Amino acid sequence: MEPLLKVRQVCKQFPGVLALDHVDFDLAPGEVHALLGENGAGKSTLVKIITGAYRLDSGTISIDGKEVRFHGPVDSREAGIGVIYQEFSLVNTLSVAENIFLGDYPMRRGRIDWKAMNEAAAELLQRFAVNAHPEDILTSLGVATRQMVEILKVLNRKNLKILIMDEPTSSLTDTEARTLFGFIRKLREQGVSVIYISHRLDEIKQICDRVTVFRNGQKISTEPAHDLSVADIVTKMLGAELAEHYPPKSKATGAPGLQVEHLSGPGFEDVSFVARQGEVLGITGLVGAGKSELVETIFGARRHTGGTVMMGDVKVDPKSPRSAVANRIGLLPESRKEQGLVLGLSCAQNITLASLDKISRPFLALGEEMRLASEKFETLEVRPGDPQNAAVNLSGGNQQKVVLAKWLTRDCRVLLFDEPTRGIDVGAKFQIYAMIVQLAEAGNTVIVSSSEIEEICGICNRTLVMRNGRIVADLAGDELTKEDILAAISRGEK
Amino acid sequence: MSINRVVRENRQPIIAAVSLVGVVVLLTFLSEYFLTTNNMFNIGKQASINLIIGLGMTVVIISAGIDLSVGSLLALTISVSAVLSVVHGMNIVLATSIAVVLTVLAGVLNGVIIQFGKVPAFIATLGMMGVGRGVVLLISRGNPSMSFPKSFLWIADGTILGIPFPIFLSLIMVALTAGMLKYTRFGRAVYAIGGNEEAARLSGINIPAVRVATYGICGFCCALAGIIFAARVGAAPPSAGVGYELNAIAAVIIGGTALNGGKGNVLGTVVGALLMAVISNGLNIIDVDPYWQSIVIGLIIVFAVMMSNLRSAAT
Ligand SMILES: Nc1ncnc2c1ncn2[C@@H]1O[C@H](COP(=O)(O)OP(=O)(O)OP(=O)(O)O)[C@@H](O)[C@H]1O
Ligand SMILES: [Mg+2]
Repeated sequence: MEPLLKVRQVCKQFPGVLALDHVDFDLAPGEVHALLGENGAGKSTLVKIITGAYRLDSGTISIDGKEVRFHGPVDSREAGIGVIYQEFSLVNTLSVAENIFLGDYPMRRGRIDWKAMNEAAAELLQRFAVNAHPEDILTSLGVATRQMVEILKVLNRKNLKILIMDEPTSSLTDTEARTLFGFIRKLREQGVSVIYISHRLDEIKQICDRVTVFRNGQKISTEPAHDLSVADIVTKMLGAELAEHYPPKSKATGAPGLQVEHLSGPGFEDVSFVARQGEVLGITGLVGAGKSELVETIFGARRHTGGTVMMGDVKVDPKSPRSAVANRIGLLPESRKEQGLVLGLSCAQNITLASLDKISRPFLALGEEMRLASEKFETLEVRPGDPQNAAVNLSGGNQQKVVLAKWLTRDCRVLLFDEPTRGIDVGAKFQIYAMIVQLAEAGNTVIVSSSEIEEICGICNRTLVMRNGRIVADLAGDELTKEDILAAISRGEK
Repeated sequence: MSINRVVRENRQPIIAAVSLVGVVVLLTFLSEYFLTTNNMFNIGKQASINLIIGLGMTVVIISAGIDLSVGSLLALTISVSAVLSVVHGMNIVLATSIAVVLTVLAGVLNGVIIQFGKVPAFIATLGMMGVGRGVVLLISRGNPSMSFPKSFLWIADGTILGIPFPIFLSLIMVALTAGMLKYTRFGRAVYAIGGNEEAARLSGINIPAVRVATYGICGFCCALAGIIFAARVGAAPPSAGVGYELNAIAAVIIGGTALNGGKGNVLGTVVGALLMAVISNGLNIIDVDPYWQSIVIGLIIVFAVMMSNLRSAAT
């Protein structure tokens, strides 16, 4: 069968990096095609070349057998290509409905038909079981809900032929991801082809027909999904086998490191727990359960309305991130682009941003800064390996590693990780888990908030399950399984 | 750092520097007077006021702010020191010091209103521009004839190591500002706030202190520029500094500092200010109607930014 989309011998060079090296890629009509590879392998770059967001250096792209050359996302949109980018493309100050219909508002007598728009949006939100109101302003919503809005915005398009999804599930829970797969299957039945990029490999077999793996800008293989096991895929991605997905759990548990008592704030209520030094404490639950709100409030990034926070015997009521940092509490935030990175600064400058006191004597020791950054670059294997690169030029997963490096540099005693492995490839995930466990074993208090239940089971010694802003279960034990957690979530429902 | 990267990341200041060299070469051919030491010093003195204000403006713009009140703040320094010394017979050094302190405080007030009053920088400093000018007119009663003592004029005419003092002072300020931006925590925080305020806040940076300080520094630069202005003119015209905010912003933008913050450097501003001074000096020398000057400067700003943006859109 003639492919719908045909990419031939495409190259793209960035300063110092050959991001795509003579890449061929075919997308058949009505197939869901997974595009996999390590962080920095070139997946997002290929997407941006297909949509015309980047210009290709050489090679051709054809749709329905005709060579096309898009000069920007507007062209590719006309041609029926829809993209859900790894980074959001929403307007945060507009409402959900306005975002969904952005650029294509329903009109009546030359004016925007607000009523029709909000009704259509409400219908869409309901059909896809998204928990938001058409008139909600985006800034008031969590990352996952925004992600769903982003998806709805593209699904709402009428001429959609090719849908490209760059890590659409990285901020969704399993349940929401399943809803998303439902949409994808429906689209496939309607003849839409899908390119699906993800680092959550267990998803691939659920919805993909074929799998293409990239490594270092080159295509390694394209194969039917049912011929491949997750282990095969991992081996192709990394070029080597991955023996273990999780490191051994932390064995050290000591004195209380962080005590939260009756803490309340916007999004959660009356939360109490004790996290011990040496322990990795997990917080999980559905999206909208209040996990991010809770950790951000502990860190002082949001205002609390009641309750106290103690570190051992010291009261450290959350006032501001500045006082948290001074008390050696760190937060790896949920959204790397909006909360984690100053994209225009170099990676080294981002890494030392929370630790400027360490390199000022009293003038900034730039050599020392480079040394600290290079050290972290090596442990976390950030690519490309030059810390003087601007953060904006890194691939999504590598940017996440830079944010992580920032907090590793801080020497925190309490570390709050909110979705620490979002967008990180399988190989690098192991390193990050190992790092988290190591931090705990060194006597720090580590809290991991994640909607990936498997990861919680894989590294946590104890897990708090949240639902609707309350803790509904406190599950101890290293042998926790996904089923235990799911059961706790649904028990909390009543 | 590779040459390649330096070029890539500093396209705009490099375009400005190349234009500067081009204009200098051109003017050298057009007029033999142009490349004399005398004229060079003239240009330097002319540039110094705009440059020193531009340094403060650079800091403010990197932090994603803007200061429209610089011209009024400059006039404030001049009038306060004139009124205190000429009308009230205060010692000139003391009078000037008081004027500088007041001007810095006005800058700090800008920052406080922006940070704590949540007023956009554009609006807050627009307000200060009006209020500052009003205060100047009030205290000087619109009287331009107050003249400073002879000794004061040394600031404009004197030399240190053979270099005219205004140029000397500019060089010191350039070095201090550049060093501050690159080698201090404060400088780093300025870039971080301008690039992504939320990420900076979540990294524990003291946003209010940094923001207020940037406007205070800008006020200080205006005060220094005001002193040079007063010494050059020898009097305190209440209209001093009208329109200077546009010149300062132009120098900063031509020099490649991003108007939306997070990016830029002092060297670019130096090139920007020199380019503007050379062009207006050159147009003077070759007898072009002065009204043309502002047209030319306006075109250059748009052209410089256009060049750099067209190139960087082509990824
Ligand atoms: N605008 C850019 N400027 C310079 N280099 C870039 C730019 N965009 C991407 N790169 C580089 O190109 C390579 C491929 O990046 P790309 O974003 O395609 O990776 P990816 O496969 O999507 O990775 P991830 O899984 O981490 O999202 C990386 O080495 C990255 O640093
Ligand atoms: Mg990517």
